[in-house]
Amino acid sequence: MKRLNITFIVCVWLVFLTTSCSDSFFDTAPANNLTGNEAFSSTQNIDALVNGTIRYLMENATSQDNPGFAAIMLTNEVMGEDAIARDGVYGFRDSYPFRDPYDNTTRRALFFWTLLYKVIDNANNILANTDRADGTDDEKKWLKGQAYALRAFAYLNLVQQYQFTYAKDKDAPAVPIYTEPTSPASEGKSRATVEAVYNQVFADLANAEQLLETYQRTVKNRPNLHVVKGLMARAYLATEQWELAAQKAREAREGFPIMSAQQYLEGFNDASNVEWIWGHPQQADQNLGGASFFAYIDVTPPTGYRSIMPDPYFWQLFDDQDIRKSLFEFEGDPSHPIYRWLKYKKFINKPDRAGHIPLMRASEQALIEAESEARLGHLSAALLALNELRLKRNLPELEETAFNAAQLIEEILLERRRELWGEGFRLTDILRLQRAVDRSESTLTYPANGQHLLIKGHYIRVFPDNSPLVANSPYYLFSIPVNEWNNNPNL
Amino acid sequence: MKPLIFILSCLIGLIVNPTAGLARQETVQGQVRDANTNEPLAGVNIVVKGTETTTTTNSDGRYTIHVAANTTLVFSYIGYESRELPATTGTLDVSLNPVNSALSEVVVVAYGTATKATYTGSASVVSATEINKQQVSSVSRTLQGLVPGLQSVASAGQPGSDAEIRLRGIGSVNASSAPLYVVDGAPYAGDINAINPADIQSISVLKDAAASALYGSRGANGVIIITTKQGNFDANPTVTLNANSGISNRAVEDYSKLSTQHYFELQWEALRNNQLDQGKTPEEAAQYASNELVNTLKINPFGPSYPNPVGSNGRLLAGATPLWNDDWAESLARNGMRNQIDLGISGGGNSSRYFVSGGYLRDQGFIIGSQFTRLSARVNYNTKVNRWFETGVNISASTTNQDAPPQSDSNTGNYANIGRLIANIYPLYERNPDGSYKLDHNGNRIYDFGNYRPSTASAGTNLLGQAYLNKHNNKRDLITFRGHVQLNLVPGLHFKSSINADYTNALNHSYTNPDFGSGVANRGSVTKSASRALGYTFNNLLDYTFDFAERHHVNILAGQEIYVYNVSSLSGGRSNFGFSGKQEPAAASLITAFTGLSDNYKLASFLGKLEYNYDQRYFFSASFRRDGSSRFSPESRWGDFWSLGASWNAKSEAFLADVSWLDNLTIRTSYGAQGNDNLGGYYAYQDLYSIYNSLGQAGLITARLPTPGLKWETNLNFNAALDFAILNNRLSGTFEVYKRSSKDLLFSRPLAPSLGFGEIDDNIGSLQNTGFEGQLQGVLVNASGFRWNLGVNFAHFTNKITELPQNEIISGNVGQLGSTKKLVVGSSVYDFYIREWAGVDPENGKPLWYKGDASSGRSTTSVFADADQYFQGSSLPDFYGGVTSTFTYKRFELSALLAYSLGGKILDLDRVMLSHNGENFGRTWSSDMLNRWTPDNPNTDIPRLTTVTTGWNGISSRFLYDASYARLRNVNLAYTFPSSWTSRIGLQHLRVYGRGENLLTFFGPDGLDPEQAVDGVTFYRYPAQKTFTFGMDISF
Repeated sequence: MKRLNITFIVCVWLVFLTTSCSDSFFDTAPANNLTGNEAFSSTQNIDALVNGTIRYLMENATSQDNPGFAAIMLTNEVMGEDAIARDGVYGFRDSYPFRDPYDNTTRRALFFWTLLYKVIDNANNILANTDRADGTDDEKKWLKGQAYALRAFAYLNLVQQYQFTYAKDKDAPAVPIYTEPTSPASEGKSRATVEAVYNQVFADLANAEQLLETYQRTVKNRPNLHVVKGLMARAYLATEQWELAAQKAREAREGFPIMSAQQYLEGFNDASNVEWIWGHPQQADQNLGGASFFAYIDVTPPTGYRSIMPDPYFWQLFDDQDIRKSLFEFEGDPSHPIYRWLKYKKFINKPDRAGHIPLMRASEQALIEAESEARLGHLSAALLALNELRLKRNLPELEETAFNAAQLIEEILLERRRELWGEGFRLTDILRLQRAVDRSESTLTYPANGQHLLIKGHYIRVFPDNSPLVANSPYYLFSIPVNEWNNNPNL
Repeated sequence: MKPLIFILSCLIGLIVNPTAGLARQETVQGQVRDANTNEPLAGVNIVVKGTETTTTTNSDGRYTIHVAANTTLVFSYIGYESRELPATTGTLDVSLNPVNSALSEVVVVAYGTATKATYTGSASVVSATEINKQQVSSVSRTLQGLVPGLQSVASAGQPGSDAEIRLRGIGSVNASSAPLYVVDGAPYAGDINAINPADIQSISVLKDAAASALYGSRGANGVIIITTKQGNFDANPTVTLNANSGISNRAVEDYSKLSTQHYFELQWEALRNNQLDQGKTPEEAAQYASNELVNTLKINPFGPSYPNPVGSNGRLLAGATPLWNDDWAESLARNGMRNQIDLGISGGGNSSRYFVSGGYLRDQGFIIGSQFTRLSARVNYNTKVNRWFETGVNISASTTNQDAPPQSDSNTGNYANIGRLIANIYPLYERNPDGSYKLDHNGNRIYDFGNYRPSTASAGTNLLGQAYLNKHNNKRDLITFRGHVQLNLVPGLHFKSSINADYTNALNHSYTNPDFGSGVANRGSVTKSASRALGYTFNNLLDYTFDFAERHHVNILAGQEIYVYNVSSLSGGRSNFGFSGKQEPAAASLITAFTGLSDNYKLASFLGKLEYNYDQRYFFSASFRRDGSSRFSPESRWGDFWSLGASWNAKSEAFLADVSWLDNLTIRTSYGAQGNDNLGGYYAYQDLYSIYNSLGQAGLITARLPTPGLKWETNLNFNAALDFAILNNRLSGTFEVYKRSSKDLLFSRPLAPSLGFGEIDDNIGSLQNTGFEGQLQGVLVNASGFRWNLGVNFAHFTNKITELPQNEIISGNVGQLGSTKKLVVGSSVYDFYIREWAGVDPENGKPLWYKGDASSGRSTTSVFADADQYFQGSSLPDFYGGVTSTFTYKRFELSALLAYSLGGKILDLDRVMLSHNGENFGRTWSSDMLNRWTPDNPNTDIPRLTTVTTGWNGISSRFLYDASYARLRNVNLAYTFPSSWTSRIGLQHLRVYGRGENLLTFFGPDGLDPEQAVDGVTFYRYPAQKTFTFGMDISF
């Protein structure tokens, strides 16, 4: 009897166990992910994808020396002549001597490429899936408009950095173009020509311009109509379509007055600045801390990398009354790690290390306008835009009589260097203008401690193969990473 | 699932109807037990002498036999000495003595136990004796050199850290290749280092399909079964106490480094050379270097009398001597203390037995700031309530406290690497220009954090100064519960239900002080994280052992199991401390991070096993398991795993029975399929978007492409083996050959990065490990009180990729330095594929590497990026194993374990760190650099110095070395006091001993510890330490 009872108990137990073991038993879901269906269910979720994509662009870091898009900005600076990656300091030491991203095996080569293409794929996902999401037509228009703008931004950067400029050879192979989201079956594409990539940029920006007409952003890191027009101005400038460049630059900076001389001293760390058209705010819990844009370019803290120094000859490009010149300071303390360097205190981090990152300013657009007008021979229009900026930098207006067109263009290009230092334009300008990087050994001195101390300057003035710095050198280009060559048979 | 219930019910129904016994004139019954352990022995053969009447004992060791009067019974059992006893009516309980050989070993195997000599699977056992000889803090480190075919690499010297273990080659590429740990019958979800080695009775290592297929989707990489001690029935309480104490320091001497004088001269040369390259005349360049040297290194250890200590001839000025000679690596080294006390009490009555223990361990480690402390307690209790009801629980609780400062990776906070970042030209304590110490207002020296140093020399870092201020603490509290009830339904039939849980509560606290070092910029920071993990296994097993037609012995096991794992974590960080000395987040003013996560993993399984033997001669086994896993999509969720095994005990055959020199000869083989579902993540099939919130708003970013068909990897495993023992068991051994074929291998198939994803997971590809292994043990000398036991084990395997999703996959990325491996069909998973060093160009001192292939002709290039990569051999050893030796003379015992690994390559990236060509100002320089290229020294393998990177210390065969090594893992000298003496002071047993761990290391390259990761790439790790210990064992 007893045994039968036990058998009965065991049977009941087993039945209980096995029936409780249905498919729902296996239901688990990741706490920090959404599935594709969830992500594209509503415009609200897709807006999160736009927000995340912008954060990715600005803050994704695979190593300390690659702090998001700022890594591209700073590389563009140190590969020119006005900025120097301080020797012996981590950060951009290998970009300064043109070793990476030229070397396609480096992590920097991979990082730049991956950063921009990941943004492109996210934008493609938004464009492909927004129409079927829940939400209003306006919301869908605005989301797609932002996706087009971000995609255009990525392609515009790629085409300017991975091949020589449009004017040199528009048929040269640039980078692959993707306009559909990647699926498990996707294959890598071949390199499209420079012209084809610009066509994609113009098409995307035209779409964005139309879709974002009524879009009102709440945070300045979102691309709105002004940002789109500013990107158009950049693209027209790069393809030497001067009239369109001037027109779009003018439209882009409407409503964004150039900041005053006093505001120029405030540290370039807040998107609320009147002339920031596009910028990425930061907050304490998501910035990259000791390895951020500011950690490299802000030279004022007592510790940290403080890697990016101005060339002493850059200092000499400023007139004495120029408010920007007041930001230079010579370090004369022999025990200081920056001893004998000039420090340029344009960028000063916020106390919580959450300094905002500038992406587009009215000054840049004014300079695009000025340069384009000058190249069209409209010297007075060019000077109007240039002088608007000069006055805000405590400089006197320039007179039309003092210049011919070529001289004025040179003056405007110098103003671009003076105004935009540290914001990531220098290398693309060198490529666009098809010029050589001009680095000289410093012989300038600075009076300190009762003597004239030699100011530190360029310590690399040749390419890695010891050849002189020339125009249109492949050392100026970013290289397609070795991983792409290995895994994309169509390249 | 319904059919299964039906079958189970039927099975149960059948057996509750016992057949009636047959009555004869005399009946003898009783129980057969092991004479040493008192464990009942199942399957003992009992023959009525001179007749053909036989029977065998059931699973409880009980037997009944009907005999005529005045007959003799012969009890025989493999691995035990046979006994002949007169049959006496009534009860005849018998105890058998094991013969002194490995054959009689009882091996704990999947869902049960087996006798080594009759087991069809491949299992190795490490006994408590062998474990207790070792002074290691984690059980995972005890197996090195003891188990044939097991590769154990303890890549970190940090006390409490685990060894990486690979069984019979490398089973996977992208999924885990680590074995499954099972503790007291259930898969273990806690930390291995929480288990007190003193509590362990044995460790079984299951290697082939017959042994591990019952673990189904988790068994593919082998299974390590840890069994804790139990008391004995009918045994008086015994107390054992073990206490020991020792000292640890560095096992292998560090790389040799440049002196201050040489450092300055070489840095001068690098500066001068770069100026020459920028177009200066030699005189200008030399003058520049002399003028700029001190400002480049930011230090002048020669004092103000020598403002430019190196002259324009590149030599240190006469009379200049360094004012200090500090050593940054030594600054963090110490003699670490190690103390251990273990107490155990065991015993039992006729129906219950117990083992109770407590342990304390504190292992400091030789690097300042590291430490591991464990407190553990255990109660194992088993009872037989009555004939049909048995139950038992094993409960253990432990708490561990580990201080583990950063000790891998190239970052500046790495305690193991600091001596390779900051050259010894910099002082440890702040100095005045004349070399005297600066003192604070209390008259103490001030740590020099070196904010003035170049950042390549870790500006703002002095780990010695931070070690006592910062915190890198991990605490774990672990409770392990193993409980079962067993119903003995009819003789031979048991129903066992068990519930097993591992609960871990972890708390990590990491604090950077606001006053000195890296925390100055943000006024210090703290992160604190806590997690709770609970893994439980619930199973129900029916086990039936029966015989039929006298010589046919059958065991059937069937059951069901579920495993559920949940982990939930919480972490937060703050910075900006207002006060010094306060370490908790409450004292910091700015929240920098707060997050929390949870994950679930579930597995449901049905399993069954059939074992059959005919007359203790022919053995067969079959097993089956069906697993459903939450990791996979509903379509590919269920997988089937199985095994078949057979063995033949030749010695039991009549024709060998009289061969007296042969004690055992067994041949066995098995084949089967096991799985590996440990793909890394828990959600292996969906398209996923990471939640990536930004600026207070929801954010998302693509994370993973969908792979709905993704499923487990399967391992098809063939094994064949021979076991023998000869000369009265003085020499015994095992030799095995195997072939493991992994299919449906999970690959992260690389994608073109322009697609926006680096890779996609896919079950494509297959892999094969073929190899052999064996061990021999013998008593070489056994005469006049002197005994010498020697054991040798060895293993060899070939790892080969047999199928890939594409022609080649570049793998083995090392952070900033790039890839190290390439996978192609025919290569191993760890074949180095790196640039090939072609020496230094004697003309100009530039580093050279090869490019081009053999067909088109190879040439050299001085541009690292232009050089081609070539296969340069594998990191996997050709031959590895261990040698154990024990000398016993009267009451002395001297034993030693030597682990060896022959062949394979190791890429020494640690050496790379200190072999820069002059571009890393102030970074440590290897003394190898003295041999750099100069016009006077054109034939060398160290290139010309310059302040711009030449890539020469990029990854190439220049830094690839033969990885062969041998290590004297431990040496043990013990003396046991005579019992006549100990009994006078009331002790049963007293033994004193001295031990040494890692005393000797035989390895080619200087400075490097040979035990690095299995993939053969070093990573600036905490090197191994050697330990001397003295202690004693007492029992009463």
